[in-house]
Amino acid sequence: MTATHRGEGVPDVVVLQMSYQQATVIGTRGQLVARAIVDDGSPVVGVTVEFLREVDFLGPRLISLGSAMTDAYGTARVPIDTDQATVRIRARFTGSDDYLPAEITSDINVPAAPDLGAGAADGKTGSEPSLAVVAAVMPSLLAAIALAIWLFLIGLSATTVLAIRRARPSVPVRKEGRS
Amino acid sequence: MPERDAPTSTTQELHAAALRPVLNAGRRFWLLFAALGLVAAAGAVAYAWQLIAGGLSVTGYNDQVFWGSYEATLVAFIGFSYGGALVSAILRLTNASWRGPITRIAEVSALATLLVGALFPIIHLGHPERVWELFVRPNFQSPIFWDMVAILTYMLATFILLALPLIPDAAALREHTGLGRLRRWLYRLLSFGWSGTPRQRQVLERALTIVAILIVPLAVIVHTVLSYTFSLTSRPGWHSTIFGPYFVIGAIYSGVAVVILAALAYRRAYQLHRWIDDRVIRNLAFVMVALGLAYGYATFSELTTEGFVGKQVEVELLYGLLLERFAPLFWAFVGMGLLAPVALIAIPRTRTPRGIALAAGLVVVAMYLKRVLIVVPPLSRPVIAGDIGSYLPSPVEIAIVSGAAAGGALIMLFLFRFLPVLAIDEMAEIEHERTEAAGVGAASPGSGNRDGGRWLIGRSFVRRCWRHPPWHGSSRRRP
Repeated sequence: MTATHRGEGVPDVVVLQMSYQQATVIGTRGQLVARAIVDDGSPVVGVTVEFLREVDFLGPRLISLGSAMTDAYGTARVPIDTDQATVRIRARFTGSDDYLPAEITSDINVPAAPDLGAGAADGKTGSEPSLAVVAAVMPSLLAAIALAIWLFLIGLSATTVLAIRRARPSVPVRKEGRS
Repeated sequence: MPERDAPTSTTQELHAAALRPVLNAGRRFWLLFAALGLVAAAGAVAYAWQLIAGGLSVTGYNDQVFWGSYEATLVAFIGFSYGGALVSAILRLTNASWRGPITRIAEVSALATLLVGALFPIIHLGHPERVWELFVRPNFQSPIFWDMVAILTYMLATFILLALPLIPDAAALREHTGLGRLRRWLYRLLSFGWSGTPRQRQVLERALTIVAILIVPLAVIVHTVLSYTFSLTSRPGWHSTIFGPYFVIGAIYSGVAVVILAALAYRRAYQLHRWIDDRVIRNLAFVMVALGLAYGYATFSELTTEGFVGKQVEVELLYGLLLERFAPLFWAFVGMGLLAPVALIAIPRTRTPRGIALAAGLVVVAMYLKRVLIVVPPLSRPVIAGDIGSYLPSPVEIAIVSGAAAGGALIMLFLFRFLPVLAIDEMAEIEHERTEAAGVGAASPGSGNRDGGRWLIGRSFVRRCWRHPPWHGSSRRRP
């Protein structure tokens, strides 16, 4: 049931609820879920909810984690990194002509991501672009550059020494002043 | 006229000064050599004990803090080396007229500290006998492998940067009657038939310029790759984009401090005040202060970017560093490594050789401390679960690190028993360019006397230097 606006000039009171939803697909990120409802329990559809993280390093601040629009059930979701930590999250709806602003702050316990290997941890699927080509080419490229520098340095030293020897006067100068 | 006679005596004095550590090392030199040798030997014994008694179990490493003093020493010594090489290369490229007396010391300190630093990845290995497998079975995904490649490449470039300018110096000294046969043979070998012809000069100058250009990015690469060992690890406190430049600035900062200390030590020990004058030391000190300020900013930037994002684990790490467990060490670093050196050099009254030496010494100690703070605190916090780790270096570690530091100094002392401590040719060349730029010929009275009478070297000094070595009597002899 969708929230029905009561009438012109009377904005509805919105209640926000918030929770953390563990990822159901292994290796994907968990989500912050906020649900916006009006006082009769019906969902508020099509409004934007912003998610913010409260931090207090160098003074209290809010860091935006992103925003999402509520769906037919009144829920908005944003992904969150799965660091093992308890984080204080604020979900905020800034209000509209039809609805009053609302916000909720809650401590969310985010569990650690399971160690699933590189591919899974990145949350890659078959359709996503792969860095396999870069991974295959990069070491060879770096090795070639390193080898080129070595050859260049050794070559430069050798040619310099040879050129110095070649540019000696026919009568070695060092003998001239020998006592 | 005294000005006309001056070049001869100055040439003689320059050669004599450059060879003082070679010819007259002195009793104190041998005492220092013996003391450093004892410390280095104690380090070698400690390392042998580490190998026999079960590897790294004799260190203070544990399950949580599995890196410690060895990694800090590796980063610190490679950094010391970097400063020496860069001082030499950049001053050469910018044609700084005051570089002459310190380039040789900078290059030798770069090589000596690099040789010591490069030992530490091996010392850290539980099975050092398997180090060759890095070459035959390289793991291209590992930053350690690329560390090895970068360090070896940089070592080659540093060696060339030291060796090439030695060619004309060796030629100048190969017939020095005061030298023994071995050294004369060595100089003859290293001179490669140098006689100072314009073509030879051109070839050498070109090669030196190329190496100097190349060593700047190489040194940046080495220290950036060294930082990858940390920053490519998904660990709070290490995984930071600023780590590359942060390491580079820190390396030059501490490296310049080492060059200052080495220059002052040789100046004092061998009475080289006339050549390594206060102006040279002051200029190096200004470079050090500029780098210190840059490093202070980089430290501020590193801490605030981590803290500002506010990931809980990083904030906890920062609180540990700034206010809790590691705070005494961190603030000691700030005081000794950032504030005190800047103050000592900024205040004219303390900007004396003594004050600058104190500032440089503080920088070296504080920067080592900083490397410990980079390595240990992030490791002491478990990333999955478990207790907070603790770390205290064991006596074996302390002995090995002290032995290595003594070894670095020994290498330097040893090299200067064979190599002239001053870059004779370079100093002559600079003076030659200076007089040419001023449009004053050697024949003009008073030429070469533009430095308050310090370097009374005439226009044709370079040519005379090779054709008429001062120990052959009058430099006015002609073939």
